[in-house]
Amino acid sequence: MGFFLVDLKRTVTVAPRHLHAKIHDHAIHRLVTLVEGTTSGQYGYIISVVEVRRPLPPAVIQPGTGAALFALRYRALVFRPFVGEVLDGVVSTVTRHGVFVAVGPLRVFVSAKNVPGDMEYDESEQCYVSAVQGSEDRLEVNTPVRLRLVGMRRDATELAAVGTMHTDYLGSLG
Amino acid sequence: MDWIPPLSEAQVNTEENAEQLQFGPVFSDASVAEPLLICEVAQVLKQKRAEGPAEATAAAALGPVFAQATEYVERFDAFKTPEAAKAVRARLERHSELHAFERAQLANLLPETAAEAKTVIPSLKGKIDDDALNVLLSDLAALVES
Repeated sequence: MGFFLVDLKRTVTVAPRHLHAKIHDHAIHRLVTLVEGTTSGQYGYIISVVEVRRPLPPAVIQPGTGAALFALRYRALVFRPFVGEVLDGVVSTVTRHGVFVAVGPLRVFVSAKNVPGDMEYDESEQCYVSAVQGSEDRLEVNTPVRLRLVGMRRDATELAAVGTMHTDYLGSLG
Repeated sequence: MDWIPPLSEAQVNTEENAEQLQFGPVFSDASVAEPLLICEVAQVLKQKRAEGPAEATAAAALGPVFAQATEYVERFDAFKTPEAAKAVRARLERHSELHAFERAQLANLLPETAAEAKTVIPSLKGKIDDDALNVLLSDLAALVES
């Protein structure tokens, strides 16, 4: 869910001192260190470079610096959430105002009015407890939950999301 | 060098909605982006870790995003073995009427009934009848590692 293999492009610079027989290895290494672990609004979290398209394109020498520019095409494993998508996650923080849910690298805020309708905040135990008699249902740190993303802010280097557990089939995964 | 083309306000706010299968310019193109099942992600991550330099600390050494993704995948992967993952994929491919994203969601969320599936993945409505969907769901459930 939200995981994709996607074809991406990236130009990497290889400094003149690396212009030797292993230049291609160096270009790929540089690509991997530059993109792995980064976040972008458009492609989401780039988890891992899976494959670099070979043969590598011929490099262009940058006037002035003498560095080689490789326009690499590669396939990457990304985690890219979409608004409207239903995701499973794990509660990471519980507050009076709502809960934060970690869905892999993404943190989703679910406000107190969007937790399942029968749940109330319990001040003493710092968790949400179902008001239904005899129900063991509760939301506390480490509870696995299912939620729907209802909003997302995508900056160039960051994603932030808001979710709901207020409709059928969402909430604690028991 | 600028590999992130600037997004217009409209692109950011209106063009994406998983409920209507709108995934924006990049992820709509099936030849560019391929949705993965959690069990397949697990294989990719495992392979990556095996290639890494120090096996023991690999997940942490590959950065926080990689570590968080690994933790997530291990927790929510219902089909633990590569064989099960292949069987799930093969079973899903028999439903070519479904969008690749819908197939991935079915295997990742494993709804129990057709009604549940159509609530959590609203785009399924009108695409597949409840009986066929129920058969698919029970086939998937049978592959879950117990």
